[in-house]
Amino acid sequence: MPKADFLFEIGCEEIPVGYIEPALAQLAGNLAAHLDVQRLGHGPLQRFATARRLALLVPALDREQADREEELTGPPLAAAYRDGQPTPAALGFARSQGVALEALHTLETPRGSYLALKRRVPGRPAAELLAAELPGLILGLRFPKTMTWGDGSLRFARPIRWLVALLGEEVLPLSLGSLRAGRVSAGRRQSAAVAISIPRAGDYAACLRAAGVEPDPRRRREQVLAAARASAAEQGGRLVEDEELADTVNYLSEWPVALAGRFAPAMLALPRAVVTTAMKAHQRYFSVEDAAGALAPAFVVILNGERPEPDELRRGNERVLAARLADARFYWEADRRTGLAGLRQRLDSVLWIEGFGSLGQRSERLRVLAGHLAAALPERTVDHEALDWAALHCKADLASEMIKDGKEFTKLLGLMGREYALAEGVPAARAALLYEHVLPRQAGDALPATLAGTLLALADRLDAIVGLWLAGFAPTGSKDPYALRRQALACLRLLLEPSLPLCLSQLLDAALAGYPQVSPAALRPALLDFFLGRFEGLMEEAGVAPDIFDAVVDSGETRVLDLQARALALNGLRGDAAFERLVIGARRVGNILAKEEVGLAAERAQADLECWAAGRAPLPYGYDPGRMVEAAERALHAAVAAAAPALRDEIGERRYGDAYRRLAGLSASIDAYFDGVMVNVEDEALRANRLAFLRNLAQLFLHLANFSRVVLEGERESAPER
Amino acid sequence: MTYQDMILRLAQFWSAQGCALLQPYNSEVGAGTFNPATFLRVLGPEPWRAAYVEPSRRPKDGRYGENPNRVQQFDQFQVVLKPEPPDIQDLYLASLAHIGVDLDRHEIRFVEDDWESPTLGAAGLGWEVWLDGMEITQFTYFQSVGGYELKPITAELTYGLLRIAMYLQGVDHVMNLDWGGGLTWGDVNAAFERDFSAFNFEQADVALHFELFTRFEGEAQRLLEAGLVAPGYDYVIKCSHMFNVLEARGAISVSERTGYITRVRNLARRAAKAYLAQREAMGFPLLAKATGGGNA
Repeated sequence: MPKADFLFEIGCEEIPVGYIEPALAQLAGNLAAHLDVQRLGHGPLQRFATARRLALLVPALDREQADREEELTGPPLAAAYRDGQPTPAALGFARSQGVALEALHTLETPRGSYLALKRRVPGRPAAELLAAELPGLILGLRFPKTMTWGDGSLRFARPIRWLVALLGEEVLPLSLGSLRAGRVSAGRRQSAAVAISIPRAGDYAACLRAAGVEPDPRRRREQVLAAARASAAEQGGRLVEDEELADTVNYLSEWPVALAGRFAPAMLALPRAVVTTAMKAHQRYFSVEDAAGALAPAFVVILNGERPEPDELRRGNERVLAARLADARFYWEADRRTGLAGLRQRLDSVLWIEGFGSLGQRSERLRVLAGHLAAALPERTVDHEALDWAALHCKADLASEMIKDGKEFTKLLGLMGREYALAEGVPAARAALLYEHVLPRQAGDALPATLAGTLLALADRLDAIVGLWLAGFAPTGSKDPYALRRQALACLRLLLEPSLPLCLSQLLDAALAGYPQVSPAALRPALLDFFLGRFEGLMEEAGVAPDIFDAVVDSGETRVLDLQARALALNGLRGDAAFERLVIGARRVGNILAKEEVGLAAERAQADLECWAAGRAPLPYGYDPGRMVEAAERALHAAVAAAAPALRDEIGERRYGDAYRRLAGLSASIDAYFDGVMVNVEDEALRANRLAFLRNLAQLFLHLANFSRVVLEGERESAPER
Repeated sequence: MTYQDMILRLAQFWSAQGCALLQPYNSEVGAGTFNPATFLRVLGPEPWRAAYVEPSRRPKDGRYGENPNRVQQFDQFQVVLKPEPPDIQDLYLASLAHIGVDLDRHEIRFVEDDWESPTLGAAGLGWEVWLDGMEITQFTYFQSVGGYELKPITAELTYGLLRIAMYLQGVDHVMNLDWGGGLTWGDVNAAFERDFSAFNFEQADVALHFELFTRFEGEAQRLLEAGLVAPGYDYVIKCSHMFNVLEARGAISVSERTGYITRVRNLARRAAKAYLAQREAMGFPLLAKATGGGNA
């Protein structure tokens, strides 16, 4: 099979940085899938991208599909001949395929015999298939936002201005709107636009490099960091490594070159985060540290290509940064004069959401809620006074000039509160809470280091979710203007990672108490569902199957820490022989009882276990162990009673894996029971005693999970078709 | 290069690209986008190429002439190209070279920016253009205006003239810009900045401006209903300016703000609708004149 390299490049005006890598991955995935469907063999795809181009190189692509044999099914044999004569159906099929009736044969299928035709389909050239497919692949790329341009006929992230498509040395006959693909790519932006002619597909990267464009994002990123490190070292400092910034800068330059600049050392009196934010968030400059790790009055900017005399450029960048730092200092000084107390007072006149009061009122709610959360953890030590102070002041920086600026410094929310507090001599531990309460700001962000910070962060999000939900901002479909989903996930992290044994429904009730205008009962179910939905997603990421999550949640437990431990334990048990024994045992017990006979009184299980352990019948389904007459009956009862003390401890210590195994250990006794004991006997007292015992046992299983929701291997397949 | 020479050269450059050189609108606007040469002309199927200077008023940005970079009235150079030529970015870079920006020594960056004007009900995608780290131009492909999706698309280039001139002249305070004719920017504008800042922040008659807003709103509605597009739109612009003054004056609370913006936006939508109806009734005359690049 003859092979050739295939290259195509989409040439654009500058695509937003965050769009590029996801688009490139989609493009590569979709092209590879297309090549598979078309049975075109090829080597591993190579991806290239800058802000102005997305490109793929497919090495050693089959130039043609292999021929293949195809069998076409015609009319059923019964309808093909009548009295030994071909019917119009048979003749029509032959005619439509352009063959004589004699060329057809009979095909036997499970559904009967059919008239059929075998024929050889010649493979199509790759060039033809690609030219037909690529426009759809290109225009099918998904971006967070798209636009149209010119005559409005195409839609993409930014205007597409050129296309390169080469199969070996030949240009592919590809067109998109009024654009036609060629072999000419564009060089870096500079005074004289450079055209780069690519003789062969495989030469793509080399040709671009020769013209001063590094098309490989990984190599270019290395170039960014190497240049930035060298530049910082030349200034006698060390680069403050910043992966996120490197990712961004990587797509702002097609040929990274570092340039060093400086700013006034007096600006170092500002909080470090203010200075680095002024450099990074807007200007995309790297910071430089001295050997001791202190910020140096210097920066590194990454340029797009070498400049013969960069002095003017350096001065320009320095001037822009100086102006931004001057703004920051102006804000800092103004806010320092107002003071934290003054900023807090301003909150009374700042609206939070229409109809839901001021930020001052929100702060008051946070005080109550945070206090409530602390009280719910009596065994943990919290500095209540510090927590209360922090709740009252945590929103103060929202009223500061620095944050009100509405630009890059808004990212410093929380952090500015801490800085203003520290500058006024507030003890560091207390000031830190003002920063901790905004954590985590996004996925993967750090969590508060202290319990008080964690509780305040929880209170903040719970209050926001409830208030915004009431104000009509509950997430629907793709709409979630206040990122309530992210906030709910943050709540879950805040509960799970520091292992806080708080109960979701109680947390929601506490937050709802801040909104007396609504009855908690009206909103609680929807909010609980919302949180459990987020939680399910989180557990799915941890590999927990949906049926396991459903089974665990259906126990009625709402302490997320316990739900997590159970879901992980039960999920981990799947595949083990104990898993099936556990599930089948639980179901045998449950099946004999109508569902409504077993309440979801999960919180009772510990008390029940105490009873079991003491050899007493647990409430509410009292029974008399003395009236157990069958050996199997007594054996099962004894087994449960023997397991109870250990189970109680395992559940109490959240060792759910052990608890599940222990329950699975009852399965032999359960089997013996149902094999040897007739539950629904004539004797009413005996029957009642047996049912009561089974209800208690069912309750015990149900406390740990609703095993009827677990799908065992083979069950899915045998499920009745609907 | 003096400020006035820079403006002349920009005008010359875009004139050579087939743009009609228009004059600023003779009513207070917050940006060149409000000028009917942009807001109305981007609507509908007719081609359009125009360039003009727009003295733009942002009452909130006044600093009594004391801030080196912030003033309440500043000049924009506005270019609108509908549809945009495919080499629009190269043309833009050439225009910078034409006013003395040596692109081999400087760094131009196109930094993503989603532009939106809530008062005009307009949105577009494009970039802030940076010169050595400083934003000098807003480059936008309008996608919708007055609530209408656009086709064909207009590219709008808004040059921040003061910033560019300060950079090219190496001047640190706007008042020291060499205007030309032997004057500085401060000679021409310092007293205006001081007085208008005092007006915007201290003196503007709040009751009068609220009343004017409401009366102008009524007049805009009445005129647009009567199919008088240009006068009707004129009063939309006046409403927007009243709002800007009231906001600078601190007379509009956070909760009221959205309501006023919505009122202006509703007027802008009516103006867009009336304009499109009028052009359609006229048979979109510029379509017939268009033979390729340029307006004719």
